[in-house]
Amino acid sequence: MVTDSGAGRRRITEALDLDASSRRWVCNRCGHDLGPAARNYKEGCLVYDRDPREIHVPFDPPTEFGFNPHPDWCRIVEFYCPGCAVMFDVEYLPPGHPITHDIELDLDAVG
Amino acid sequence: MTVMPASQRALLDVAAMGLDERIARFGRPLMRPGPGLDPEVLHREVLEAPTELELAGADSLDPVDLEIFLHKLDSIIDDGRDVCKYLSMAEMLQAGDLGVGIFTAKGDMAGMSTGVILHALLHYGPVKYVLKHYVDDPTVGLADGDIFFFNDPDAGGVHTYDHFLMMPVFAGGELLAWVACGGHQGETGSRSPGGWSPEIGSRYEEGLHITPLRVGTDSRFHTDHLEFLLNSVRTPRQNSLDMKARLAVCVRLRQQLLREVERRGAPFVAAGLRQSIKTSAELARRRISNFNDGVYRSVVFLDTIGIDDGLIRLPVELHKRGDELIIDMAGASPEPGIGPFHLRWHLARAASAAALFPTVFRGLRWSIGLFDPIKLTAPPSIVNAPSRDSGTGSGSHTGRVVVQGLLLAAMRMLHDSPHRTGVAAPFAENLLLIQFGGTGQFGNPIAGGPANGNATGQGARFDLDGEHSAGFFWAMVVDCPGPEEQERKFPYRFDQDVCGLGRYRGGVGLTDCFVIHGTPGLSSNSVGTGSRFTKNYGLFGGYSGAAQPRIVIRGSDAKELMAAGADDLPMSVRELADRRRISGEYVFGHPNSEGETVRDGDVVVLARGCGGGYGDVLERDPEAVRADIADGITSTESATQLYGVVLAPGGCRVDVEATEARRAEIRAERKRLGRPYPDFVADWSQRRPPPEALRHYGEFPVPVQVIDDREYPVEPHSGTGAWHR
Repeated sequence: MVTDSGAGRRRITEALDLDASSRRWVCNRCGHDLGPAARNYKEGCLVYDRDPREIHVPFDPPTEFGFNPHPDWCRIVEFYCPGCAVMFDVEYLPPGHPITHDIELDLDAVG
Repeated sequence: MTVMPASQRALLDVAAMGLDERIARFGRPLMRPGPGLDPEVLHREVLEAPTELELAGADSLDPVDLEIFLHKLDSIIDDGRDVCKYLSMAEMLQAGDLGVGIFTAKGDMAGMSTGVILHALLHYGPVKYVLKHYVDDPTVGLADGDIFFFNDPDAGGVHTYDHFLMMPVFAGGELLAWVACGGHQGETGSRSPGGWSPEIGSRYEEGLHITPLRVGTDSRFHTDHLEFLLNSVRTPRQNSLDMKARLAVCVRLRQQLLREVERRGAPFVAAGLRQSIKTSAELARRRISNFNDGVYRSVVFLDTIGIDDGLIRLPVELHKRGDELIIDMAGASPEPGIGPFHLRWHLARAASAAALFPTVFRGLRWSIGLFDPIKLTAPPSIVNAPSRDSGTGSGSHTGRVVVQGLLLAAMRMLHDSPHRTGVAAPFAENLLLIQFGGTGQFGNPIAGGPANGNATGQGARFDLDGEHSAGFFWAMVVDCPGPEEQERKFPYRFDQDVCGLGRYRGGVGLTDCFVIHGTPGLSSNSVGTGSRFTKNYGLFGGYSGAAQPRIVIRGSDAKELMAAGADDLPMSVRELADRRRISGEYVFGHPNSEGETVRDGDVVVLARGCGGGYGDVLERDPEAVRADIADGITSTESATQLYGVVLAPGGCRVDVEATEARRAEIRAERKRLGRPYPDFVADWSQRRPPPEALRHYGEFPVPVQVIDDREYPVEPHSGTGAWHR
């Protein structure tokens, strides 16, 4: 495996590290502790529900169908590091849909 | 089917099942048998036992000679792909929306071309059906020079709009191999010209469904069979040319394979084909062993079933255990029963190859051996639709979302591995396709569409931006000769603020703007997804590419403006929609339409998907943002608001201090707006989409899959002979 974060940490995604010895999620950018790796790292994040029209610029004047997803059908859920505010992940979800536990490592096998 | 009262049924709660139990019950097709259709054939995940010829040649396989032979084999296959592209008339075939494959005598795929992976991957179905049911049937049989045609998705096609030929290859009177070729033809005699009928009620409106049919002997077509096929479609000339193109490819593949037999002997060639599969399987397992054990999840959404709009849930759970991968799709929305978006198990499995072969197995030789360590399970749902009558014409759209979801899960597995170079956001998926039917400029019947639909934006990679108009999700290794040829004459301008933002941004897809000219009217139908819910997903904090509308301007003055030499015509969709320089009645709609008449002067605009971004937008190099502004793909407003990049007056350089201040401001805003996870979930979980979004969803948020044990037995129907006996 690739261990390019140093200090015994594994770089699981772009900005998310696993500290293999303590079995905890850690921010790759600032080292903020995000909680036990047996749980979803998103539980250690700050979370924000964004209107998709803020990112996907609508036509001007707005139309029913445009470059923006419909805000009643689709929301952008953003996950920030509480330490440095780097954005680990975004999910495009219907409002109310459960947050995805996207990475569940077999910690015994990862070592 | 007799419906029993619920109290008398044996019901299974899928959610309560363990993964291994799901694999045992649903890791196989639930498709019903039919004439020419044998689910047992399509459900074979295992490789066939070697033939005596393959065993006889095994000892002669010197590693160096084998490597040379496999290289030659790949050259033969790629040559076949190019011949098909250059000889074909259908534009989708010219664009490389096709597949070419060589199979062992028993039908295991030993090598395949780049292009659309599942086109070649599924051909084991018709080959094995012929071997099982027709070889010993005295009314059919099998001989050197036989030509078989097929297009039925349940026989091993993809949808009826894809047409294929296959031929056996004999050496010294013994069956040595099979060759196959085909791709997207379009016109199939379905209810709308050129296919892609979004409003169908069942498969019987999707044109011809041909199970393996011997249409020729001695390498020549039977005139009666050919005329039957051509008489069933609107474009007999085009289909005739393309049938001959496919035959030319199969004959050429066969000749070149037999040349290798002359040079190396039949046992060597037979054993070489077998060994190529075995080697791929071994390397695939070794590759998988390099990834962290665990479960990787994603959930993606369709926003239409063609005939009606609504959210469709498509979850992917990728289990990595040792040297095996298990793809579990429990929790998908139920089979809608109407519309063309149904997927079968074997197509979902083939779709997973489109996701995994170019990424997880990057650099390995493509053969069915790569599938040896992979299992797929899907309870009855839209991705494993069991109803025999359900339409599958846009099952490929559903399959594409499976590709997106599987890629998102697989990238989470791939990043912490020696194979990080394969990490990228998926190709854009929000596809809009249009077909025109009517009379062409030479008075000939036309029924088909432009191939530019395949020119979508590439997702951002872990170290690079995505390329513009680069290809598409079914074939990350594909050519788009249409756009390349066009851009040589007319340089493109790309739309603004549509690609996925991130540390690396996605590529922009191609937009077609048709002005109807020289015809009183054409029938058109279009199909697509992603107008209310974008599926051009980003990765690791990157935003998705934009949603997409279909725009029609009725009674426009576009032709008059062009005739007058107007130099301020809109050069992008955003410009067209915002500025309204072209007069007429603007209709902004969702992607699906059928039987719509467009008349002289009408304008039809189809924006294609843009790739998702990679990583946090605030980490994008400010100079790269400045270059995006200069290229016209990012507005200065978005640069400031979203990327946090401020340009100095005049826009020629980045204002470094102002950019640092703006980014600090955005980070502070994130900390202020972001809520602790428990607080967020407490409120979030109380929300729901509007009722009209959930018409086809199943129970929200996770569809409950309680199924009738008697309807879906553990063992599929095997069928021991031809269906009619």
